[in-house]
Amino acid sequence: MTIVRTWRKSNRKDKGLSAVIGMLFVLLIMLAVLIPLVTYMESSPTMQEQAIQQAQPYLQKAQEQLGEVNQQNSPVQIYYYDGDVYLVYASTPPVPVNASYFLLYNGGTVKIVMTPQPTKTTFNGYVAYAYQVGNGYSLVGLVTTVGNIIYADPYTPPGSASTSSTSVDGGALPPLPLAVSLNSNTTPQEIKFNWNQNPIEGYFSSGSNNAISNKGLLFTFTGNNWVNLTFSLFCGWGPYDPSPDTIYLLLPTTAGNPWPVMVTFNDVQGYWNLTTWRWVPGGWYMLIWTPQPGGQPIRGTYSSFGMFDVVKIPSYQYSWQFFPGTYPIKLAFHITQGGVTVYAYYQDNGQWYPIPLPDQQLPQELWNRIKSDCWGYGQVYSAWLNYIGSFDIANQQIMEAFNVYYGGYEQGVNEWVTNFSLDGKLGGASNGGQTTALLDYYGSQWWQAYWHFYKPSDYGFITVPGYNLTTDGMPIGIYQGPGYPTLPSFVVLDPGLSEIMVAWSPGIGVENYAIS
Amino acid sequence: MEAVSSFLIVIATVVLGLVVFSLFSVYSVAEYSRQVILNEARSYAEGLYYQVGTPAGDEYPVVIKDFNYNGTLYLYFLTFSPSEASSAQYLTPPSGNGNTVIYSVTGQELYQGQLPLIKYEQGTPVLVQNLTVVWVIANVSGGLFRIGEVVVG
Repeated sequence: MTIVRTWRKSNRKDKGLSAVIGMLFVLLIMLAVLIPLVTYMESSPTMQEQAIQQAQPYLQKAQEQLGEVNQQNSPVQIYYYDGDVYLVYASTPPVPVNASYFLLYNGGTVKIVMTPQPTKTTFNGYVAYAYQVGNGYSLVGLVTTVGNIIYADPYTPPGSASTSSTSVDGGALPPLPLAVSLNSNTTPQEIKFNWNQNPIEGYFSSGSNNAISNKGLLFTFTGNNWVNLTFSLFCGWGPYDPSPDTIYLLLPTTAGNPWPVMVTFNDVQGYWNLTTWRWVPGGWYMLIWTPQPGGQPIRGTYSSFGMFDVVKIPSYQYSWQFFPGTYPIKLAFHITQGGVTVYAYYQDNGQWYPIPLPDQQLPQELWNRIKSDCWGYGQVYSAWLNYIGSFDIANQQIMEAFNVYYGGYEQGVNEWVTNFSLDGKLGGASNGGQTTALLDYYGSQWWQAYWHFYKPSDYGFITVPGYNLTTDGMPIGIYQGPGYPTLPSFVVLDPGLSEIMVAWSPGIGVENYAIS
Repeated sequence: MEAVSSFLIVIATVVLGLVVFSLFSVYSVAEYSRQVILNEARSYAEGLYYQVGTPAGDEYPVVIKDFNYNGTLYLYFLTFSPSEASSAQYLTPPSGNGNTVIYSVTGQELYQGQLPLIKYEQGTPVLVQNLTVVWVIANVSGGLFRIGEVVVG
């Protein structure tokens, strides 16, 4: 009996053991499933993360290289000139630039060549490596060893610029398209691109000070901003003239104060110069940049319309050059308190090129150009100018040759809006007295006009009688009926000068007219 | 008799456990090695870098580098119509007869058939027709994986 009971106890124990073993196997099976599963789930993201981390330094390096070559102030520039590609080192780049191939564009085809052995040389005073790739390519791209494609800039050596120009007298410009791409490291308060209407014309035609705020090319920066702004726009560029046109920048001012901050400028690689500026009612300064030929500053240059430039040339008559074309330009403004820097580029065939101006000694006539073609007029005309003479303020005598320019557009049927300006110099001798000047009109009649000279402390403004600069704003173009002009008022920017030069233009469509 | 049957149950349990364990081991090893290959392909994909240059006529120069892979790449050019431009990167050629299989980096079979692949040395400019999607393919442990695509046009 005892034996039986013992056996029964032993039997239960074995059953319990087998169940434990079974459970262990179940556990083992679960582990067999879970471990690979966990490994699978864990390994994918980890591996991917590792892969990203592994590639990141190289990707970053490749991106950095794009920013270091042929960009503003970048240590390495690439030029294509006279059959050679020059890697010009202004300083040592953080990412080396090693060429592996060249892409040579010629007439719609591209040729791929291995990088030839470079020659160490100098380029504009900088250390450079020259790769001989051959002449006649319209575009040369350099493939770097990190996989980037960087295109060389064309280079025009000093003195080799074309001096040819073509004037388009009386011709109509096609409506200009607009293309804008924008990049800025600082967000301007306001950037507007509306080329349907000239902002100045909009202002004057509407008589509203606010009209300027939403028309035309408008950049607004306040405070102490460092702005690196890049935009492109279609403007009046001709294929024969790679030089930049005048650029205008509007800055807000404090209401009631004509020039709270005199914004100075820095030449950028000598390409551009801030030649003049003006106060525009409504709380704006208009800064005007023009090409700077020959290193001679254009002092006192002013346009009554704020859009044109006047240049003194040895001839008594000349016309504006219109440069119809659709070459967008690229500008970067670095605006700090007391400093403005302008870079200018133009775009051709999808590529950006710095505007090769300063060394080219462009003829003066090339910088006398009208801006109307950039402002979206449907019809823009040019006209020849009449010479009258200069006016000596102190002696009230007409003295010497002067230059003036004239422009206009059709306002309506038999109605023309004309605008003219002068190359003016007004001196400290002005004392608020009234002076008479004579203007020639159509070569057969003298018109008498009056100017009132404000004191230099009044910023040297001149107005016609009855025209209140403060309340009426800047002078504008006049409506010209059949044969009867009225005289607009003028503004002279530099109160330190001593004479004023006056000219008169006969009118729309009348060309080659001059007196001597 | 009871002892024998209990023993048989234990044996059966052990055998069953071993069988299941073996099956899962085989599965997990295969799955793991597959994942290793896929991870490698994904690693290549993460290191891919390319530049498309200015077109000359109807051709664009393209330069491709893979910073996670130094070996040879293969390219396949798949042209598309302008209407397909927005979805070009998702296009696949119709499969045909042949043994070439292209996988995506997720392991999905993108193509099976015969595909004209071009051997590509990294960093070399290659001219690509407009409206073409370039499949960048790498050989990972004998399998062909599309590690990226460059849409031109």
